[in-house]
Amino acid sequence: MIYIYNGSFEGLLTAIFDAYNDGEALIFKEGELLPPLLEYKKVETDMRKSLRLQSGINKKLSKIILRDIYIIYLSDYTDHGTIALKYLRFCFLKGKGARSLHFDPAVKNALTLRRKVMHEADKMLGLVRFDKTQDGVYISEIQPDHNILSLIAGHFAGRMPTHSFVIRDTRRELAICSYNGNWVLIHLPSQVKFDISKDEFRSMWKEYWNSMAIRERLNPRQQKAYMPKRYWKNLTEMQ
Amino acid sequence: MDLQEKLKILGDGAKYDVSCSSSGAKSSFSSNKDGIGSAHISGICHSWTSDGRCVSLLKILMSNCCTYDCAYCINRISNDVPRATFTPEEIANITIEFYRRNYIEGLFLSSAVVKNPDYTMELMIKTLKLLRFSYRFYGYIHVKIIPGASSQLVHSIGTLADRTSVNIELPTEKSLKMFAPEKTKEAILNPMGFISSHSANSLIERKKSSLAPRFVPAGQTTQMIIGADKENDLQIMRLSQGLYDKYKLKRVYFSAYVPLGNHPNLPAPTTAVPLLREHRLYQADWLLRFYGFRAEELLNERMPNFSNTLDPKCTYALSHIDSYPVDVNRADYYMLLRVPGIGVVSAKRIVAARKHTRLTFDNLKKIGVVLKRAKYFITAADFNENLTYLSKEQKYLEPLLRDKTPAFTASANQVSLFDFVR
Repeated sequence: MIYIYNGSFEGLLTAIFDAYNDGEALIFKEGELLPPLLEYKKVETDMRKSLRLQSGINKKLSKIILRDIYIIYLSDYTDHGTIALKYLRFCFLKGKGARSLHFDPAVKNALTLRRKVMHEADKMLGLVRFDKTQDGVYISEIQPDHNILSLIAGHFAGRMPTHSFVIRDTRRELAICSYNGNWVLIHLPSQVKFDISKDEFRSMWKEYWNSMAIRERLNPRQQKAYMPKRYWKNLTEMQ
Repeated sequence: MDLQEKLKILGDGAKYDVSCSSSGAKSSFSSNKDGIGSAHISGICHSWTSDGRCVSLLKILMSNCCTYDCAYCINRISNDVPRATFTPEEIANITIEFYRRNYIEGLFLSSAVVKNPDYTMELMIKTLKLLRFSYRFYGYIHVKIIPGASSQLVHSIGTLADRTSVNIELPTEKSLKMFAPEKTKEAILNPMGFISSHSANSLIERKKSSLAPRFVPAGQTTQMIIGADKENDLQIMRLSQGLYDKYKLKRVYFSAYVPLGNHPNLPAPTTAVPLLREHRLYQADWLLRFYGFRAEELLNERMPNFSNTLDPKCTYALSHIDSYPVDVNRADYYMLLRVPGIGVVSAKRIVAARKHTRLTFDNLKKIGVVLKRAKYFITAADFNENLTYLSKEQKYLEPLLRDKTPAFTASANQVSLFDFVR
């Protein structure tokens, strides 16, 4: 049986709750391409079920495992629902220490996916580039693989507590807006455009960046390994 | 001269300094509500240049108008390069504007010696004060201390910067005398000792009261140029070990000599940059800092250099064959770390997982152990047919452990894998 949830974190928890005892269960997000020839049903998001599962995880397992589930949820990976379900089942079976049984496929798949998401979030702390608009707002556009906006927002709000800035994920049409150190996550359709003034510091940065490479040790392969090409589109120095 | 041109000249002069990390300062000038900036404990890389090195800090010189004549240095007085000097205001302004656009994590300020060391340091202090107090900048600042500056000035820098470094420059005193006649061993080691003791005191004081002043909270580092003279790897490793022990340095950086000088005793301008050697030294440096190895264990007078084909840990394992095999289900953490193919992450995972079950080779593979190398050195819950190599002669095992990645066989330029960052 395939369980389809509406895309919210509470929805995912409800689906895990419903599917828990169904050994054949797969969980998918609404709108994903489903495997053929299987029965499916839509899961009605239920706050009580979601809260019950959350408090169960916190009491019987640990907060870290709930955090794992949340980060897996942000991955937007097709199998994330099923991976989360199998991981939770295994954890409830083995108890608190399950997280260190890294050789079990259920744990390995879950923690590998978690690491991928966290890795991209950490990378984005460095790779976000802002442009200043005429009104003094700093604008940035990114297209990350995973839905990491909520993981990086706190860092930038703490870094620029007296500035207003927007980081938008154009792929998911989401954005974080921060003003005076407080941030919110909003839906921002791609029709909304910002007027990015001619920023003299863009060319200054490009020039500086170019002069930093040592010609005698050129190594573009390593550059690409650290800074994958799919991110170059939004990097000032690569435009 | 406009600002952009100055930035190009003074960035160009600073790029041969390898240190770039922005780590180690936790929430430096913390709870910032009125200024700009924060520090991230593990540091953040912002970009990578086409030589594969990361850009984390705005790495620039205050000035490149040097009065010294160090043979290996691009900024030596006898070299014909364009010269420029920043004003403190210019540096502060560029730092803030770059920081706001998230190009950089902070400032790495170094300088050529203008007039004399004290005069240069005063210019740098003025810049830092401007950033910290006028712009209320809370981000990361790394300052290079000019050897020979008075201890009063070193102290002021220490209260303003997150990290400082004094460059050892060259691994032996003999090379220092030959290539950098104006610098002395004492002028380099004295400020290092001064910062080390003040920083330790400040940590003790800050444990008693969080209001106690900070002093170089992210510690100090140093760097040395390798391959400029004929020193061997053993000398370099001993020196690094001594620096870690005595001055509690956070990092020792190695900089493969890029032929820029014209001294008769320096390598010819066409010499290849010794990147593989630099890579081996960094591998060994990791063994010192995270794996509990000592310099004397890795090299000795009979074998004073690292192998081109084997990494330092495999070299160690082959010369200490009697301490293997290691039982992964019993051996302590540091013994696990001595197995080729087991790193910090997999050793920790092994220690956590074996509480629940006796580990098999299949488990180890899933945990992330590189069995390709580890299988000759370990026993686990199931039978290991590869153990017989331990009792055979070295010539059978050695070829199985070689680096076979194209990076090491093709050209030296392809060496990948160094992580200058964290």
